[in-house]
Amino acid sequence: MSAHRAPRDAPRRTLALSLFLFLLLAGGAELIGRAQDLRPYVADSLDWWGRYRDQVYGRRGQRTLVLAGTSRAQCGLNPEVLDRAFPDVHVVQLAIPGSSSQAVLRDLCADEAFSGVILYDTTPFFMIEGEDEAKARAHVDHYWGHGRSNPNRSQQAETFLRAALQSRFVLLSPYTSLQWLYKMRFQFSETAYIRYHRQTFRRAMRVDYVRMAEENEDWRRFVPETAEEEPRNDERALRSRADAFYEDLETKWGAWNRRLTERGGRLILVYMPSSDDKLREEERRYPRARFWDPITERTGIPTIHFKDYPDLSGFTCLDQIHLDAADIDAFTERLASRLRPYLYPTRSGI
Amino acid sequence: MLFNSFVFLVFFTLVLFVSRAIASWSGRKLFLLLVSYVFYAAWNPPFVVLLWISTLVDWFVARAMDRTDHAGRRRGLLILTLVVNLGLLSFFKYGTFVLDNVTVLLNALGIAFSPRQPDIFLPVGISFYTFQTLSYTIDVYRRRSRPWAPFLDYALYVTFFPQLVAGPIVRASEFLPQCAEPRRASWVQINWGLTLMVIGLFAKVVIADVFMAPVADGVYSGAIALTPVSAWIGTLAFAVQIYCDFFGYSTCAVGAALCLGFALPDNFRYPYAAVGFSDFWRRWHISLSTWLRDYLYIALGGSRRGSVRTVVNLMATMLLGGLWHGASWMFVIWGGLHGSYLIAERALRASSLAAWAGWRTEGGRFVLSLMTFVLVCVAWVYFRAESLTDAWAMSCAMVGVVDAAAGAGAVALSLDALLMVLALTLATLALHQRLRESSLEAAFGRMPWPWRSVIIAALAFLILISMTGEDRAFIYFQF
Repeated sequence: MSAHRAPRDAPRRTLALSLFLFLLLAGGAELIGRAQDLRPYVADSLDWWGRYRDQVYGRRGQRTLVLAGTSRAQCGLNPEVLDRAFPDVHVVQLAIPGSSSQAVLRDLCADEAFSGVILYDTTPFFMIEGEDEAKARAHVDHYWGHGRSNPNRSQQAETFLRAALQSRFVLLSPYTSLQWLYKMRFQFSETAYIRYHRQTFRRAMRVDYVRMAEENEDWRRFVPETAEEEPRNDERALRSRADAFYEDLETKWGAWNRRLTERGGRLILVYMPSSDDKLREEERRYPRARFWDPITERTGIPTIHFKDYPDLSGFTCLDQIHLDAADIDAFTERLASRLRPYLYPTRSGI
Repeated sequence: MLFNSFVFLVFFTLVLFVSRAIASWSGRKLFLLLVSYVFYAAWNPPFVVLLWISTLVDWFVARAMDRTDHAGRRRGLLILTLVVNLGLLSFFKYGTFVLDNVTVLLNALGIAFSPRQPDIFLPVGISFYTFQTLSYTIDVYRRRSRPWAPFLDYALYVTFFPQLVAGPIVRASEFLPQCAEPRRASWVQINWGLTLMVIGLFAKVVIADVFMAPVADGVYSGAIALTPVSAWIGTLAFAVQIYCDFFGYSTCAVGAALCLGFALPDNFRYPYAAVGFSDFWRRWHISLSTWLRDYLYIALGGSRRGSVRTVVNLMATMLLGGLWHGASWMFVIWGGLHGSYLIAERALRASSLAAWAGWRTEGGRFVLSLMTFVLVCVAWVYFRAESLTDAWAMSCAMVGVVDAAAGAGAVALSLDALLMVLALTLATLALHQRLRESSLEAAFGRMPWPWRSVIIAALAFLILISMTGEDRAFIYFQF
């Protein structure tokens, strides 16, 4: 047995020096990471998402406002600002980067125990063509399969503890992990891929996504791809797309909304800011008058389009689809005033 | 609770400090028992009941056995404990497997049968603690040991958290005497225990998870195109991965126990330097192979009943040993391959070929150990592959036969990955050869203490910055 052959000299000094050197290495790496302009970064995960999915039912009867949709909502809405704006409402961020998240919306609308307000970030493009729905489905399936009924308390504790540590130390960022450094041939760098602390924006996330995207020129990937993929846009094609969309609105979106509103919930669709070529392309493929504007009339779902409100439309998205980190709080505050009537309906109001 | 998690770090630190603060020996054992239940319940609280059943049944059966000299009654009690323990193991681990195979068999016979798939969760560690409690009762039945008086000690033996979920499978005779006298870990033990934990975690988190697993997963999932080179590299990567993974867990377990003042047996002794397969099984998962030897192979008659019976016993032991790893025919095939290797080795040892003096030189020994390693790798293919078809394709690729049509859309193995796997495999083999007749303790003991500190700190730092990537549970947890 190992115990009988253990090295016997200077055990306390060995331990003390090991601890000192370890702290020196860890502290040094933390400082180097910060000097390289890296920031604490919480790795998003299915478990982490599931913890927030669990919160949509509210605490002690408190109303909830669920943010769902794409990276535009993830990067463009600060839950903490909304928390301050609606102190008696629990705000839950469930947006998933890289996915149109229809599966999340469908799941929330079908969940009989949920009766809160959903602010769902979308565009006709995401409503019709969708984006990586498999990713959103994986989140929902993981939640119902493992997250909600998961008896593994240690895994749950690990998810929280890991996020708490990652939100404080650069050293624990996925971008300083040995896997990443090995992949990047031991160069410090971040990518524009978005993962973050879901709820506590200031703590870790504050993903200056646009800055990283600019530095890495990642934003360029959006424009040429969409230009190549653009479908036919003549009148006949548009009419055919619109007809299919209207049918979808009534059978799918309207039905989801009815299920939710029947039990006192509310669904609001928000068109988050985009700009320049991307906005022009969205308008060209799915002209607003034909696609976005009829949504409320055909489904009863209220919509907020950033262009309808001067205070929401004055922002420029440097990568064309995500708000600049510096504008997030201002945008969220202004959007909050548009949301107020839905969260506090009056007899004569909405 | 995984050893490679932040939660375990907090849990273990608390346990270490609180257990040292408890003055009474019984109090400390009771505390260790309670935290072991917490450790186990953290996975799935209701499964603690199975642990209690196993503990109580074997405790009472062993005492009842000891009180009687009536052979029939003793045998009946033995059967009772076998039925309860193996019944629980069979239900939870092999229930679905048996049902699937019965369904296939009946359908093949033209009988329509399509049962609903049972929703059975495998309780973590059940294979390990079942074998552990059985060894206690069988030893009492064979009158090799007496039942242990204090129940607290026995419950702690079954439940002690460092070895509860993935071994080593500790014998009662190794553990229970340590409960008799008050013991508090010395600084030498704590220092070496923590060192072992760091070494174990480094092997698991850094070598297995960061470097080897992505290549092995890539090749075996088909994401990396199958060629003779990629098949060998993927298999070498898995050979190192599974060793580092399980050696890592066992070493952490031994280290954690040592910090609490308990000595557990070593589970690995540089198996990739083994000369032949009987030597391999004296070095790989030692606590399981000795368990199978003592309670299955010898019970079947061992090598005392003629050469044919010996061959049958060897094969039966290895097939069941394979099945112990999981409810899949792939593990049975893996066990069968090792059984065949052992039988072939036995035949070769009896032949005139074994008399050649060259085998006993350093060079001959090295060649034999290399051949052993290659054949062990060939068997690993059946352990790792998802299906027999995949394993066969991998085996064919390893001898140069590749289906050109397969693997569309897969990427080629990168030169980086190839060199990295080769380098780490060679390093592992060199380390095993170097320490073959020695030990980690001796190697560390020869170092000046400041160098030991430098190595521990560096390894701990590498573990820390590897823990934030993807989570990977220990492979042996599934068994």
